[in-house]
Amino acid sequence: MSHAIVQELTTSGRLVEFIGQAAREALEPLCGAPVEVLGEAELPWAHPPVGIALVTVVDTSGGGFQAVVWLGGELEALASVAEVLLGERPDGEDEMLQDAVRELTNILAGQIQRHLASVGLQMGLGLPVYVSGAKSLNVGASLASGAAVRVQVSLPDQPVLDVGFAAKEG
Amino acid sequence: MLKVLIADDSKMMRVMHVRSLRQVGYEVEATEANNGEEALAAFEPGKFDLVIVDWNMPGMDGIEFVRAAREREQGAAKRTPILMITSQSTEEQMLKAKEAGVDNLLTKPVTPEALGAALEMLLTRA
Repeated sequence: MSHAIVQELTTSGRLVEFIGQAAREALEPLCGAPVEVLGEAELPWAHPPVGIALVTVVDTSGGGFQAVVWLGGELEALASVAEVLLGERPDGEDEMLQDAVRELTNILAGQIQRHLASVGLQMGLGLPVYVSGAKSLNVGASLASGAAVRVQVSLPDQPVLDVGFAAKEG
Repeated sequence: MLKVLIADDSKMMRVMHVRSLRQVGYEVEATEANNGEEALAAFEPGKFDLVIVDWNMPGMDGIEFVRAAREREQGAAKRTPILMITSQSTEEQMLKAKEAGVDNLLTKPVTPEALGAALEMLLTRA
């Protein structure tokens, strides 16, 4: 049942709306800057961004789906956002940058969780994992129901990030 | 001087909490812990004015830490205010946090204003 709801949200376009809203709710208060949804993005499995963090999601309402939430982008974009949060710019893809991206993804996942709860989907979140420079992400190959959006944060260098949610039955 | 124990596996969040507290006018002496075990090792009844703890941490999580800290406080003269920060916000989770001994729960993203307001309420009550 739960997976059917995810599929319906995907096909109706509501999942895209939820993800866009969640991105704004997660990023705007932390960055202190408006976030604009530029449009839909591709699911990242075949061509993931250079830096991406993923949070695994489990269905706790018993309906049976597995999912992931992700946030990723080019290193410069991730560094620009991390700089605002940390008060200093990370040095390349160091632990500070990875920590910031993991934490942002965790917060994003919480916001998506809240939106999906409003349509009856109860989810538990795992710990975020950062993946660097992957050529592809096997984790997502079977996550057929999902959506992603590209957002731009109104910081001086206008960083662009991709965020999304995808699920499969199981 | 506000003595705060901050337990969060994210250094960024620990930094942001200290910055937020300073931003809303507190002078802060922070003890940082990377997980529940480290936080429990630092925790003593009456040692801190406030504990800020993340729920979702590897190893001992925030809820386990709060239960253990409250157990350690049994018989102590004063109960340390504990503020839990979480990215998850279901009613079930809020109930679980209260049952463990959390005094207030804030959902991420937490702004300095929200942290300041929660803190004011907790310290007034303490």
